Amino acid sequence: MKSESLFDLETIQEQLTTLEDLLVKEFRACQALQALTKDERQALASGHIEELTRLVERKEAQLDEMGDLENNRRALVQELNRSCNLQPDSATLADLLGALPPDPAGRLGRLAEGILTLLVDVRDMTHGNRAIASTALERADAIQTFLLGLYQQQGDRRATGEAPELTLPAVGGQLPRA
Amino acid sequence: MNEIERDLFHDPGLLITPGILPRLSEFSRELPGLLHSATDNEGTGLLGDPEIAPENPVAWISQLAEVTRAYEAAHQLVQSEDELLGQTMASFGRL
Repeated sequence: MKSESLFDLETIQEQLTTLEDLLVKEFRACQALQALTKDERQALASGHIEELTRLVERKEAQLDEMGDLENNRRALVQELNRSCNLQPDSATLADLLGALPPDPAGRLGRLAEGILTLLVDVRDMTHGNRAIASTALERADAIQTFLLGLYQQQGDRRATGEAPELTLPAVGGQLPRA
Repeated sequence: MNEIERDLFHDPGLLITPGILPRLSEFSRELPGLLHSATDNEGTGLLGDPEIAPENPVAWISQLAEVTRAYEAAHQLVQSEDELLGQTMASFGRL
């Protein structure tokens, strides 16, 4: 029984070390995402389309990596909760921290708070970026619709044998200004 | 996207006819704030690209399609990103 308890403690210690490593990786991944999101804001605001396309690809890869890290962390926290005889179905770090000694709980808690601070910042920027992208998309769609209208009017006139008319429709009217 | 849209925005060279070119060129000059770089009212450039001249509507329709795709991709990504970030934050629980 004594050796079994010792084995459990060693296992828990190893799991805690792995968890700390995972949280450090998540923290760095969040920092990278924060930098990408700032660059995305600049590309959206200045209309740098090529840069925006590159950033979208890089962000997709970054988000995939963060998803993998999160899944690993959830699984590990679940194992740790089980090892510590906590709610076996719980995968939240908060549940685990309350059951750990102050030293590891403090280290892990500070890392988690750092990650959450970064996530809140990234999420705020993401909301702004979504608004800018949405406006830009509506603007591009409006221009596209207008051009389609020009083409379709042209097609109609050709079908009826009318001469093409060169007056401009809707200039400064329905279309949104940049 | 219907057939006309698909053809026009994926292969605009097929559909731009001589009759429509002057209309498009004139349109591109009339709306400098919309189609040209915000800092360039000389009529050079679509959406900030100085290499797309207003006299070449085929080029700037292609560019417009590219711009639209880029914004669509960015818009979709930020939406899924928001969900993912929310899930990640929830997975930490109340610290």
